[in-house]
Order: sequence, then C-alpha cells, then structure tokens
Amino acid sequence: MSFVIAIAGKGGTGKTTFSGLIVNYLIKKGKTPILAIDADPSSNLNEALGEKINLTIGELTEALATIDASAQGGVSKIEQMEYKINSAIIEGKGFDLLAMGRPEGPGCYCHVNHLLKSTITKLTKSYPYIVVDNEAGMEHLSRRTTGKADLLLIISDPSPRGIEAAARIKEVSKEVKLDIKTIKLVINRVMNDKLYPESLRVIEKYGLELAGTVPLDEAIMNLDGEKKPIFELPPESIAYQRVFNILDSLKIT
Amino acid sequence: MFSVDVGPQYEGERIRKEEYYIELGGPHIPFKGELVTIRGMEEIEHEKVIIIGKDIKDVEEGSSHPLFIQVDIAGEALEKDMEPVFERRIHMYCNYIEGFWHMAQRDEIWLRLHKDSFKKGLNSFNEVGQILMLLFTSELPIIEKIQITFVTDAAKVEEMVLEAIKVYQARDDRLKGLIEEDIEDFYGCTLCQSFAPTHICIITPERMSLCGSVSWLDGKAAYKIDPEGPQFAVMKGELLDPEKYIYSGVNEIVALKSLGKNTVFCLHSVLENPHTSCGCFQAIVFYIPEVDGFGIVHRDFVGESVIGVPFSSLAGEASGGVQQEGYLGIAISYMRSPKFLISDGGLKKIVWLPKAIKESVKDIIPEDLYDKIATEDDAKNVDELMGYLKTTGHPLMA
Repeated sequence: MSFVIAIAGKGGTGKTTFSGLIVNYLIKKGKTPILAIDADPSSNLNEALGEKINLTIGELTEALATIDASAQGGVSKIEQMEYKINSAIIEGKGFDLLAMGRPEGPGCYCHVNHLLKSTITKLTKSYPYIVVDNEAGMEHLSRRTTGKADLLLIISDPSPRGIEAAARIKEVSKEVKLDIKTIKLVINRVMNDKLYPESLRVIEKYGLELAGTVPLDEAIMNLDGEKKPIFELPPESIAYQRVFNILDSLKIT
Repeated sequence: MFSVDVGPQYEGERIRKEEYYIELGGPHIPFKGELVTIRGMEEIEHEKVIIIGKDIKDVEEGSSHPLFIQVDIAGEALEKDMEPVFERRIHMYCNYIEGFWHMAQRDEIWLRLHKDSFKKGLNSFNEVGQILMLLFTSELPIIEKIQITFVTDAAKVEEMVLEAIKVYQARDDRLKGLIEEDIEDFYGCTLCQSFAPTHICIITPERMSLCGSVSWLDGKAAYKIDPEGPQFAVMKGELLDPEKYIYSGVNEIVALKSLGKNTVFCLHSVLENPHTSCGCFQAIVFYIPEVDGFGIVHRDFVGESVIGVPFSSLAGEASGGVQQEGYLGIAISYMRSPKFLISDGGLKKIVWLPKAIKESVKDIIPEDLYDKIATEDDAKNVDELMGYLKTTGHPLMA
C-alpha cells in the first residue's frame, strides 16, 4: 500500500512550496519513487519541482468526454484513458508528477471521471509514496483520485482567521467522506516563532492538532521570486530544517 | 526455464524513466504497433521468432526505439473475427513478464523493460517471443501454430504500421455496422443511480448511453475489465415485440435495477414505456401533440424551445429515472442510429431542431426532408411551427 500525504490550505499560505518540500524530504530520506499529484488548478506544483507540464488530466478527460461516439473507433475509452494518463506523467528524478488541471465544463463527466478514478487508483499502486497538493475543497481527492490519505496536512497562515479557514477544510474533509487517518495543522510564515493568543484559542476551539510551525524564511521568498525549484533551497535554510523536523516527527513509513 | 519470472502478479506495474533499460514505442516514437494475423497452416513455422533490426542487447541503456510486433497464428478452428481478441492478449501476456511493461494497443503501443530484468538475462526479443508463444498456446489451445516477428528497424516499422492501420480501419468499420440483431449481449450502466436511483441505461450497438460517453464497445470493455463495476452485461433474451423492441432480458434487468419501479422498456420509443433518463443526457426529445411530431433540444441551447420552455424545464420533466411518456433523454449521436425512435416513426417525425444539432447531423437527414424541419430561426412557437410545416410541405402535414 502506498503512503498518501495530502496537503490542503487556502491560497497564499505557501502550501505548494510546502508540498514541494515534502517531495524533497522523501527523496532525501530515500523514500522513492514518489508520485506527486498537483490537484489544485490555481497552484503550480510543477514549478516548485522544476518541471514543465505538457498535458493536464483535465485536458485529456475533456478530450475523451467530448468524443462523438459514432466516430469512435474500436478502442474503448477505458483503454484510451490509460495510455493518455501514462503519457501525461512527467518523469523526474525520484518522483513522477501528474497535473490534474481545471475541472470539467458542461456536459456529463460521470463516465470519464469514473474511468479516471479507477485508472489513477491502479497507477498509484506503483508508487510507495504519494503527495497530493489539493485545492481547499479537496474535490480531486474525493472524486478523481484515491479517496483516502494516511496524512492530511492543512497549511495556514498565523492569523486567527487563517486558522478558522483551516478548521473549515478539516470539516470539508469529513463532509466529503474522505478516509483520512491523521489530520494535522501546520502554521506557516510565523514571525519570531510566536503564535498570537487568539490563534491559539482558535486552534483549541476547533480541536486542531498542531504538527508544528514554519518560520518566515527569506531563502524561500528568494527562491519563489526567482522561480527556482525547491531542490535549490539550501539545507541550512531555517524553513527547510523546520519542515524536515516536522516531517520526521510525523513518522512517515 | 526463463531468465525472469512470468505470471499475472506482475500486471500493471509501471516502470519509471529512471528504471528502464529499453523503451519501445510510446508517445515520443512516431511509428509503433502490433497485429495478430491468422495465416494458413503451411504459411508459418511453429514457434519461430524473427527479429528485424536491433535486438535488445544491441541498444544503449535508457534508449527509445520503434517496435512492431507481428503475431502470426494458424489453426483449423480460427476465424478472422478472433484476431482483435488475440491481439489484446499481447498486452496481457507481455505484462505477465517480470519487469516488462506493455501499454495500450494497435498503433499506440508503449513498452518498457526494467534494468533489473535485463540484468537477470532478459536481453533478447527471442526470449520475449518464446514466453509469449508459450502463453498463447497454453492458454488458447485453439492456436495450433504461432510465429512472432519483432521489428525495430524504423523504416520497416513505419511500413508495417501503415499497413496495419488499414486492418484497424476495416475492424472499426465492421463495428460501426453492428446492429442489435447481430449480438446477444447489451450492456447496462447504473453510474447515475446516485442521483436517479431507478434509472438504468441500456446500451446497444444502436443506442449509446444518454450522456454520450458509453458506447456498446465501452460497456463491453469496462465490463470485461471490472465485472463488479457500474457497467454490466445484459443478455438481451427474447424479442417480445419486434415493433416496440421489447426484450425479455432488458425488462428483467430494468425491473431488478429499478427495484420494480419500471418493468418494461420499449428501446426505441418516446411514446410508450420509454427508456428512463438520468439527468446527464445531451438532448431531450419531446412530443408536440398539435403536429403529432417531435422536437429535440440540447443542453447548450439558449432560450426557449418551440413549445415555450427551455432545456432546463424539459430536463426536469424527463429526468430522475421516471418513465415519462412524451419525453426522452438521448445522446445526440443516437440520431445517427438506424433504430432512432423507429417505433414512433424515426427521423421523419422530427419537426423542430436547434440549428446547431440540425447542422451536425445534416449527413443523415434525407435531402428532401432537411429544409422541412424547422429551427429556432423558422419557428418560435407551435403556431409558427404549424405554419412552417404547412408551407414547406413536411410529410406529417400531408
């Protein structure tokens, strides 16, 4: 069974950089091969990992769903789907990457989404570690991919409102009936290692479990600013060390 | 016996870029393919492997090459129709080989051999061929003789692919001409039961799913791959009414899957015991009593249909797995079926179509009927429609 780590958080919390750091962590620990899934159409995990996307799953399901059946040849959609998904995989060093892309347009996607889910479920069996960068609603995780995760990390900024948003994401994961073993909160971009008392109250109010905090780090900001991949973040950077410590404590097996 | 292990446990394991010794075909190689051909008993030499071009051991580690796999078989009981079935076995059997990955079919094949399997000694197509021949003949005793040719020479592969495409085309043409009377197995789909709990789609070669995404072939393939999945076989059984296309097997499964709510489907009728509709249909057929004809409106149509209501209101009437006489959800391509509403009179009963649909199915509407079917430009209500049909001399007005 693969170990699935899902990352969620609202826009601007640094969740994609965090996802990239998890991939980097797993590679450094020799926990490979990894399948990284970019399931947030408004983020770009591929850039954090220094890879270019040729085709998203959204584009290929769109193409399959709009095939006129009377013009379809003797190759069924389920067979076409498998080939197309495998060609859409970006193959990096230690990890492969799948970009889900935009959700569908009008019309019926029941059948292709069903095929997608079974094809991706089959594919994930080839990878001992899976890292999924989700959008806040976790639509892809519930409808199109594995439907379960060993670990869900919700990334938040240090503000009380940010943490309330993180609590809502936790609720959503329950509403969409995702099978998640452990849910933890990570607070990112913390200044001077201090949390606001009001933030602590929100954490307590919603019963969130804090996995740790990550300091605001100039090295990461520079990396983002220069659009460089996460693998170029120096190991002595404070955020790098803190993220590695948090992940060490989470016992990823 | 062989350098590597062979068995179904190796199926489906993807081999990553960093792991393969050789890659054959795939998205970056323009020409690749595979074909099974039935030959005369004297035309082939049993258990012979022919290699044209470089063998695995002759290539650089980590490189990609063209490939064509030609499997020739002979046997007294073999029939031409079986070729595609045997061809699918190439995929299955290649994946039985430890560290050998085969993806897709026809002229889209994609294979990878794992470095570990190469190290164990699987370094020649000769051995791959031996394994495949053993699997073919032991699992399919109907095959009496088998010979396999592996071609990696780019020019030769291209030539063979171009020839094979003609064969694939001929198979597709046969499939397109398939009618309900030719086969025993229809397929059912209950994927939409989550929101239309009594709805079931009956899929035949002449009637695809309402959403337009599951053809008879898709149903058949999906059922074979996942027999417990939402698509399943429906043995059509006895044709109880040859005019209304009522089949005993269809009725049984409809009753079972709708929990007794519906018990009879007339497969090609809007007016009597019509097929139910989920909510996903591409278009709706609706009866217009004033002219005893049908209109069709599709999901993308903006505004009101000729009977004064938009798609969304009609969808409310038609959907939900309830048999609603006079309303039927369809895939637009069902209009191309020879059995399209055949029990109610077929295409000649169509009186109103949005321009977009009318143009997309122009090739199947009889020439003398085409201008007699009104669009939103010709009629905005039933009065205008009646006027239009009279002026143009639509057969329903005769």
